[in-house]
Amino acid sequence: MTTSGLGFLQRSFVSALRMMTKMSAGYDMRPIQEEMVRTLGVGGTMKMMKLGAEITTTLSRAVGDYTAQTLIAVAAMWNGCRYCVIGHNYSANLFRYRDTKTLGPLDEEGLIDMMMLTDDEVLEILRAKFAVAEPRTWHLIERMFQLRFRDLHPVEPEDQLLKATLAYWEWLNECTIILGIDAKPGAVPALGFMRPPSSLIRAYDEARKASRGGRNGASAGSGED
Amino acid sequence: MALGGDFDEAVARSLDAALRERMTRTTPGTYSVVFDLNGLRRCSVEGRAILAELQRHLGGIARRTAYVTNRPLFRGVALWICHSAPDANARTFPSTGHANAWLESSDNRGDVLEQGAVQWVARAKTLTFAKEATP
Repeated sequence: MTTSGLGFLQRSFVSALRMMTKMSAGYDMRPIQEEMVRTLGVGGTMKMMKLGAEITTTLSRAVGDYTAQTLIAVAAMWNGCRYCVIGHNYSANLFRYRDTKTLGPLDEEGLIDMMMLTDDEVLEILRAKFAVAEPRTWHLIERMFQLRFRDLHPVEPEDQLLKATLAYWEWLNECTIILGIDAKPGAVPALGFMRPPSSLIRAYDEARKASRGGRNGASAGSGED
Repeated sequence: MALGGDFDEAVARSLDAALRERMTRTTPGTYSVVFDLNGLRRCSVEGRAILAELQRHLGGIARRTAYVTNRPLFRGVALWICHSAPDANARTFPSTGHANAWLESSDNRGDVLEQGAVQWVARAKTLTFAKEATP
């Protein structure tokens, strides 16, 4: 064992995972992957990653990449994981900008302030941003809220998909919270977008900055010192 | 136990001392502890670290611990505390109603979450949908 709490074989496994993630996604997830192995062991980590790939693929196939990443960001928000909220919302925005050259309704810079609000207040903000502009996405967000907080019994086929998304991210956030506790916009990669082209990132970032105008996007009163 | 306002190091130390003192008079495994964080508005890094230490201590003497808060940001703080302690008998909830079933049960938090994810993802994989265009 080392100070990381991992044995030689576990560290070797993490190194292999890091390499695969860097090659496939383009970013490093070392602290989270170490935490997964520390918490779940090698077998549990493989199970968690396999399930993550399955639910992400199923969700994207059902609702498209942009909506899938938006729903994942919202599911993670209910658990309080800033890392997943910022990273998956960033992915959603990149998918949308790539496909339509328009900005998504949720600016990464406003997410932490939003998480300071109550669940009902957050839902009202989401309603204002999605209900008219994207009624289909709003319907799914609202059903997800009912499933998470109002004990809605899953009846529509989509409810089961949303329930799976909620259940998986509640489990995953057990490990991602080690970064999710302090994560800030600008320091989280686009989670769920495999190797986004740098030209896309640059174009999106510039468009988002321009949309903020003179307003300072920094989060005020983020609830922590 | 209700926490409100600014939860800084001094407040955390005071709570830590009071709760440890109170729990020394109880038989281990007899009582559950519920932290109501609905009134919380700020939690310092030092404050949350002290809470994680306190939770580690409670893990050895409390039957269960529930952190209740209707604000996502503080559910994240509470999740970090439960995970960092680590205490498999501590968990966060959006309301006391949701916490009650957990307080009465005895399943390990990690097992409950894993079983839920496995069960629901397996169901979702069997569903078929017509693919929608992204907006």
